[in-house]
Amino acid sequence: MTQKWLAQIYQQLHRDGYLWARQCCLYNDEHAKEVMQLVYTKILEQKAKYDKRAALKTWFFAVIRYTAIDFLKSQPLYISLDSLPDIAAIPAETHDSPIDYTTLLNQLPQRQHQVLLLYFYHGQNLQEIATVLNLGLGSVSTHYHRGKKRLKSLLLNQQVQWQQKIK
Amino acid sequence: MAAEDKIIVDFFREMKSKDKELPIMPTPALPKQKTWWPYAVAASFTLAIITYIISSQPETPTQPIPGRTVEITLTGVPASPTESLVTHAASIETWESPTQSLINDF
Repeated sequence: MTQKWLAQIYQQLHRDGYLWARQCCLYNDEHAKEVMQLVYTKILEQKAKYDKRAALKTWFFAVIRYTAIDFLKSQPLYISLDSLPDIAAIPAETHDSPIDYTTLLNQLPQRQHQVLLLYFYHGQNLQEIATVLNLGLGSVSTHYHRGKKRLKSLLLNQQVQWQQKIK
Repeated sequence: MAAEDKIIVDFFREMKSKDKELPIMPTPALPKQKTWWPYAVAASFTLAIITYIISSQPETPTQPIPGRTVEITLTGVPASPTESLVTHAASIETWESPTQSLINDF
């Protein structure tokens, strides 16, 4: 039975799951890969079992979120000084677009950030988001409205700054 | 959807289209399922063949060997009913004192 769900996840949800894992890991690709490996191991070892109480995608996203939380907790909070030259050698990212998505979203509180991502990016409804984030529906609704308001003001500010830069 | 959400919807749509360029990690290989039923089918099939072969063979009739007859006669001497109780006969005549050897030596 596990193999059946896993095969379905591979076919339909792997890409979305990976992107969600990346978003949960503050857009770090290496961390996202580690998290996805851990998630698949959990499912194979039946530490995470799908009991059909929610949609498969909702359950899968919840597993990814919990795994990402545990993984990030296990990571050291500080980077050693030895690795700093390597970091400095990495060329700065060039932004063709006036909007830097990750920087902008990271300015939101974590809950609002995740609620907006799940709603607008992953197309989940508020009930499903409540399941993924283990929150009440009312709480999710509040985060949703506050997040939208805040993101909108951030976007408008960004656009104004970009237009001033062009001039 | 409200018109004021359009800016947010557009923001996430652009973000999504940008993320399409992201390399997605390959899916890890699924472990092969341990399929036991072919072995079970093969074993039961083999067993059925063996059973069929054994049952289809004609039974060899047991015929008496011509010209030879073996007769077995059981003979027995009737024993007295108390014979089994008498294990040592005339034990008083063969009795020897445990200190007899002392008398002989001195």
